[in-house]
Amino acid sequence: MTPEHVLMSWLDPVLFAATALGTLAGIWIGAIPGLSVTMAVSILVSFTFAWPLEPALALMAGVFTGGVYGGSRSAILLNIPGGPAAIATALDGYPMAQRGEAGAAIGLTTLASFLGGLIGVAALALGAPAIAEVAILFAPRDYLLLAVLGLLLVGSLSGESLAKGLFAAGLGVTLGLVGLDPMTAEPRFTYGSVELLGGIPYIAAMIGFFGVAEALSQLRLPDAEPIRQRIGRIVPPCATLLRHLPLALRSSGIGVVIGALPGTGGDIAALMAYDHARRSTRAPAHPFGSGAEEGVIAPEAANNAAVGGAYVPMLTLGIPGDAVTAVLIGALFVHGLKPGPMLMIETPHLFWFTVGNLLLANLALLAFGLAGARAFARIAEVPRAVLVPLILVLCVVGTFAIRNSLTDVWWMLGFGITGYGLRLYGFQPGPIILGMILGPLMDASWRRTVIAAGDDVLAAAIEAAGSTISLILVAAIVLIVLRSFSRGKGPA
Amino acid sequence: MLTRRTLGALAAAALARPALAQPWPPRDLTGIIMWGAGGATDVVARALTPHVEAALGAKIVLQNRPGGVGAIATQAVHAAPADGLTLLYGAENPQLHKVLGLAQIDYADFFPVNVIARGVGVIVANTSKPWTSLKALVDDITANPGRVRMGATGPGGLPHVIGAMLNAVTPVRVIAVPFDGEGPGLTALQGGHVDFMPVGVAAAAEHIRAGRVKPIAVVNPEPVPTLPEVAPVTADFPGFARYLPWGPFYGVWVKRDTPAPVRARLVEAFRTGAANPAFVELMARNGNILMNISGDEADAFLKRWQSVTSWLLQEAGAARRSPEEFGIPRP
Amino acid sequence: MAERSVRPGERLLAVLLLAAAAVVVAEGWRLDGLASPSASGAFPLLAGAVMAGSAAAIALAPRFAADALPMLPARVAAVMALLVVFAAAMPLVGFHLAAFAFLAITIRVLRGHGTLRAALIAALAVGAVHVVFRLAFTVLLPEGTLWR
Repeated sequence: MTPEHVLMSWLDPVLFAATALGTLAGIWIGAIPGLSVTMAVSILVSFTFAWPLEPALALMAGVFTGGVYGGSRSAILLNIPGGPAAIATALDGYPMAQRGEAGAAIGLTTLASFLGGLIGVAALALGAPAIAEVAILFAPRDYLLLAVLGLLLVGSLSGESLAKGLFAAGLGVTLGLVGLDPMTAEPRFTYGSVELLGGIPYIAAMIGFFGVAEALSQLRLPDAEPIRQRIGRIVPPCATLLRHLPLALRSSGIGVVIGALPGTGGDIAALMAYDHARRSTRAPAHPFGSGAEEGVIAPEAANNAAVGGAYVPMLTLGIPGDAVTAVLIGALFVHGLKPGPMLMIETPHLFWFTVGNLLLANLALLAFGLAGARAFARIAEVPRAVLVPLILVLCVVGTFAIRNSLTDVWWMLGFGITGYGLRLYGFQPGPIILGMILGPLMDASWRRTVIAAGDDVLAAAIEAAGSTISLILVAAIVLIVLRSFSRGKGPA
Repeated sequence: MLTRRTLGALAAAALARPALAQPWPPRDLTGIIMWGAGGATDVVARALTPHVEAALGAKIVLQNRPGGVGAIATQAVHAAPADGLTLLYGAENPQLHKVLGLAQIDYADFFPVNVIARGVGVIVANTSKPWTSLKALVDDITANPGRVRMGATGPGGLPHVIGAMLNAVTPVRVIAVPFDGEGPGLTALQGGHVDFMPVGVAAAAEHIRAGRVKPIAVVNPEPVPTLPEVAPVTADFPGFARYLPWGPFYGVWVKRDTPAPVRARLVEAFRTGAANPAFVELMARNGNILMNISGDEADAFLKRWQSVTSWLLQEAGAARRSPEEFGIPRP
Repeated sequence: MAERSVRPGERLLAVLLLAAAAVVVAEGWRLDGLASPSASGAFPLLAGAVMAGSAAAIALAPRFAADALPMLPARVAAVMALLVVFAAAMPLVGFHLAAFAFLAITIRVLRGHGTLRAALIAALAVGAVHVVFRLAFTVLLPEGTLWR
């Protein structure tokens, strides 16, 4: 171990400033729907082209850490997740803000993110090579099983009617499959449109179904005083923290593993942790979906733990753990390094530099997160007549920014108006987005599994029976389904 | 007063001005990258562009517009005005869009500002496999039909095309399992979920150097500098020779009817940028072969590539529409 | 739970949902969803089947707890219309002007503030968007074809 490299970004004022500024910028970028961390980091690759490597990496690590956390801000205050990793946070964070507890919700998410981030860094520092070796053992069938595990969440997200939740999930899967089939290059649901060959970005659907539909639904309510926020206490009391600590730790564990898997990232980690919180919490103070503290802690701990997790295969094997680390690998390359399995052997200082850097970014997150919480919470007090138009413009420009497409803006508006209508009839947006995220993963993983077994489902099943990872995942699915049945709630 | 007529006259005057009377470019350029952030095309584009900006004296704003194996970006640049202000940063894919039935636009509709570099393929295998040569691999596939799995990246991708060459040169048929890209495919290869995979040297070099995957043969008539010890495919199977050299490539295009002075300005800026020593070194380190060609020379290269690959796919039964329909000549 | 009532158009909605499911199933069929377990159409067919099944379930038991508020109050309809006009005008007059007009008019219509204050907020918001999206993120916001 080389402590001077761990401390490098702490002692060098330029690196320190780059990390801190990156984290602060990341929080804002993350909070704005449509501006993604991936986008920010790829712009930074060009921007920091002429810089030395370390400040460039420090800035990017800060943006990554802050950005994943920042998504929770808009999820809590506006019910618009700033990014896909914050979808689960909106489910209970927004109801908390509606109760006047936006400040407390931000405080909890900040601490949960910080803790998750620390555990992610710890896993990276202590177990990176071992975790990476396990991660690459996940076969396509295991990704399929993970997606099925994630899909069990439909039950929790459906609201009152499971039938409506299932319909919404099916619709989401369909929307996710629009475009060129990645395996056969056959166009699906494109009906001759070239624009549709690239599919419908699920961020556009997320902004439409959550952002626009929510903003319009707010106008439907009779004029009311904006909710006064109790912002006296941002940092939750010690007893609360201790009570939620086990859940935050388990969620962080989920985050590290899902983040380290090369085929999944923070979005799926957060959703799975939310599902876990729902199933494992007995008697929450507020029911899930109407502002349970557990419902914001679990996803936020998981998505920030997934940051450290995503660095694991990137730094040890040169394999990206998610979309952001894929861009980071490109950045290393542009800066004259050879990202790959030899990176850690030939330039071990880079590994320890990153560990120290991420640690610092998490501290910056804690400081900026808590410091800015009060001001942010005030956003929920802006009168609707001003806030709603502003949100709508942000939704439009955010969607346009995803890939400079006006067509995407029309899709987003269509989803928003449809979503408004569907809400009136008791449909929830959650399962649609869940279907869009998990559908393509399931489709591709299922087909890879079956193709590899010579188009023989039975042969694929026999192969799965010989794999420890697959058996564990199957056991988890069976257990969850059985337990929900025994509670008489129906599947999931 | 500004009437419609005066406005029209102003517009006409603006248009009538000789194209380069003023310094060109008049504003920032837009560069549309046809693959996502972090991909090989993206990395080449982002590494090259700062050098070009210096030569051009203007900024190029880069945007990723992935999707439809490049068809979306190609279509978008094709729809933009032919003023040279919208650049297409692409790879080889559009040259196959016609035969794969994806789109009617290919590089014949664009002017090659620069074909930057080309890559070479290498066949790699999981380290637990006994194969030491391509012949051993082919013998094993023949002896155990349906048991050996090849990693791929979808139709028209490098593994698919090299797989088609393998089918054409040897009698074997393999099971191709498509992944989302070369990176995910190499990951699956290391996890043992597929047994071998043809990939670009750029993607595999570091994994080979670390001993995590085993090189079987390079898809080139002779060994390549990055992997001097690896035998060429032609050593075991001389039949490959008629397709080679073959590989993916990266380049920059503008619409074909862009005014000649603008084309010349861009060609010059990109030629200077791609010759920057830092960039040259970057390409070499990554196992790419720098080309830095433009105009007629690039057109000839693109035509040959399209002809070889389209007919190969046609013979392998992988083309949806015959190259003949589009007047693509046989190699 | 609140009293269960049927919203107007609930059965019609179920029919629409079934129709949507049918479109999905048709695409799955076109893609040979049953030809092989790994066909392009396998998942579309599966998704379509799930949609059809749940749409049928919704059609059979359409009741749920609905609130008594009007479904589409005038101001929601007005904002929807303004939003569509905004998106349609954006490529013509450019993002900045379209967004400014949309914000100023919508804030005014919703009686947030007086005309001057609404215009001021709109201008500040458009300026902020310009700085973040155009300058920092180099997103090429539509500039408007009318001014070309």
